[in-house]
Amino acid sequence: MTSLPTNATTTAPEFGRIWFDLLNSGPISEDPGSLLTGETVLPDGRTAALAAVVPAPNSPFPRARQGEVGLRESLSLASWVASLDNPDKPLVLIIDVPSQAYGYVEELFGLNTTMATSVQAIASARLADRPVVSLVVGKAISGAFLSTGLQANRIVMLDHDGVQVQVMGKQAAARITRRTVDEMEKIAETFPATAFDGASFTTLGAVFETVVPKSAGSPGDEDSASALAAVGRAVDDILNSSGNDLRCRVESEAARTARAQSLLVRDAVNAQW
Amino acid sequence: MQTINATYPATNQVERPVHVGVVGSGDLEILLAPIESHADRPDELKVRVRTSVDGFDTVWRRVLDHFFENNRPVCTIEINDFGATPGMVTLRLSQALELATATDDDQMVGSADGSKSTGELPFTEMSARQRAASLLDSGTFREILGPSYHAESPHLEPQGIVPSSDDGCVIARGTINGAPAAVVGLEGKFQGGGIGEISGAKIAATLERALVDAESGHPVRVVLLLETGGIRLQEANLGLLAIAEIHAAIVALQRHIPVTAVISGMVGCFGGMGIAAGLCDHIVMTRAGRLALNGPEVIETEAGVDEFDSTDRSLVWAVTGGEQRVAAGRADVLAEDRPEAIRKAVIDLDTAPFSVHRGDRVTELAAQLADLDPAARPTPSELRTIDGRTH
Repeated sequence: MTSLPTNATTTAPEFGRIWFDLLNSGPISEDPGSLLTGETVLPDGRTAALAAVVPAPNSPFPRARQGEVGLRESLSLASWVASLDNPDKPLVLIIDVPSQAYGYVEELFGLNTTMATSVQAIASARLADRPVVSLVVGKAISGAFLSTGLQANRIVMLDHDGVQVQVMGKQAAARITRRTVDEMEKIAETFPATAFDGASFTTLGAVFETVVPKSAGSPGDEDSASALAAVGRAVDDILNSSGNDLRCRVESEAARTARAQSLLVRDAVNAQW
Repeated sequence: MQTINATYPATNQVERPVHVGVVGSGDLEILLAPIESHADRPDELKVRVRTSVDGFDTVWRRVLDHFFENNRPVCTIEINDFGATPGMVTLRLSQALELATATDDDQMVGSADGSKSTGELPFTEMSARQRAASLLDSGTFREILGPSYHAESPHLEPQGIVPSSDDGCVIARGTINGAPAAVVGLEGKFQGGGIGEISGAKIAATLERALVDAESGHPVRVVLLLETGGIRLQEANLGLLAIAEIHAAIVALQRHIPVTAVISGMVGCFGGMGIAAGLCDHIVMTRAGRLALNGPEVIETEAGVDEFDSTDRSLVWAVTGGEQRVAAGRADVLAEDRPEAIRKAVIDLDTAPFSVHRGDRVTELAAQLADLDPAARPTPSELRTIDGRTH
């Protein structure tokens, strides 16, 4: 086989593992596919299932060693979510996923199919009235975010420099849209949807609450308490709302400004149906 | 991009609004709308051109002056151009005018479908509107949020990109084999079929509305014609959120009725929409169609040419093409690249709700994956015979 380039420049803290360890109060179970699962206790005493996809440096899948979501990660997550009992128990997904796994064997096997299983599992849990909250603690990129966090009823997001939400890396996006990185950054000032930072993503109206940690890289008890308090409020909001769909994302006040067309199109389709 | 406005004296009333063409490479879209005559002012023709190519105003004015010297329709004409030649511009203007002034019923159908007749065109060479119409029972095509509604992306023009009046997404209501249906067709020629706020919302809204109908006992069959590279990068996270909502809507609707994805080519189906297809109970493909998460070019860029040589076309299709996907159980039906063949394949699909969806087949997929040695770089034919497969 061919030798694969490894990304030796990854020096950012492993926010996913750090925050999982901080919040986890149950026995840690580490799946070979780099899925951490455990439990956390919300401020009202309720226990929630907890999971994070984290880097697995020894994975036999070289393209999924840096925390990328690949074949095993998506299937493991789907399998674990589908196996959860007690449908009232909330599910908290800790998100720090740099990208989907880019590789030959991934596409040969069908990464789109395995990612569909985790989407199906999380969406099915939500539709079965299990409260699902994503806690974005680091990167939330493209297919990796779609398959791990975006089917949650509510999204809670940490506000720190390590948080990124985008659909493609800066260099690649610049190349494809035939712009320089400088031009892209200038455009992002006017179009928050193209920016990378968490605050810009929040303006699109899909984030339930933002939490500013004292230290994102080495969080303490205070950070744990404020994150869990926000997750707890998200769970309460889910339980107090009537639907189990994602409508709150298009109906939020921010979305009515930043994504006004998303609601207008729905209204028009209904009217013309 | 550049905008050019022109006004001409006009004398001939036109019968109806018309839409022709596509905002895609070397082509253009024309929207023609009648203007009511007023006794107190002279009739006129207003033309607005938005073109992706700057600096050709004199050529545009020459082409328009020449065309409207002899044709004087009382109407507004909007042109969204993506680098069409003057000959192409004149051809499209002639088509639009012919349809706008025609009177017989056949021409009406033609105008709705975007051309008079699709003849013997392969499915892959038809526009999204034509493909959607070809799946529906004859005479039942009704477009929702059609071009005259101007549901164009508000995010493209400020970024210097010519928008399309339907944002590259066609919603068609009608019947398939007598049963109520909605077909959503993505236009791969417009911005690579990329999902923006509007096109994404059109797909999600269709699925969400079909769910409302299904819940009240009137299931509507939804067929998605997916020709898309994934998220439209200029709209980035707006496309990401829209795709998450599409995923959610497919899962919710399929508790009542299967959703069908048709991936015919030439663009293929990638990114978050590849996941959307992976959620659908039915996937129909042609040999030209490709289904994957990451496109070969992106893999080559991210991981190097040794990982995936995107210029090796036989490798690309051997891994992601319709024949392989169906043989390996990642898609269900391989159909010929003809509208009648695709329509027949769709009609033959089961419409009763599935108890186990494609996205529920975790155990089966995990068993297959356990038998696969990534270091051995398995071949496409090896994947077809892997254990754990039930197809």
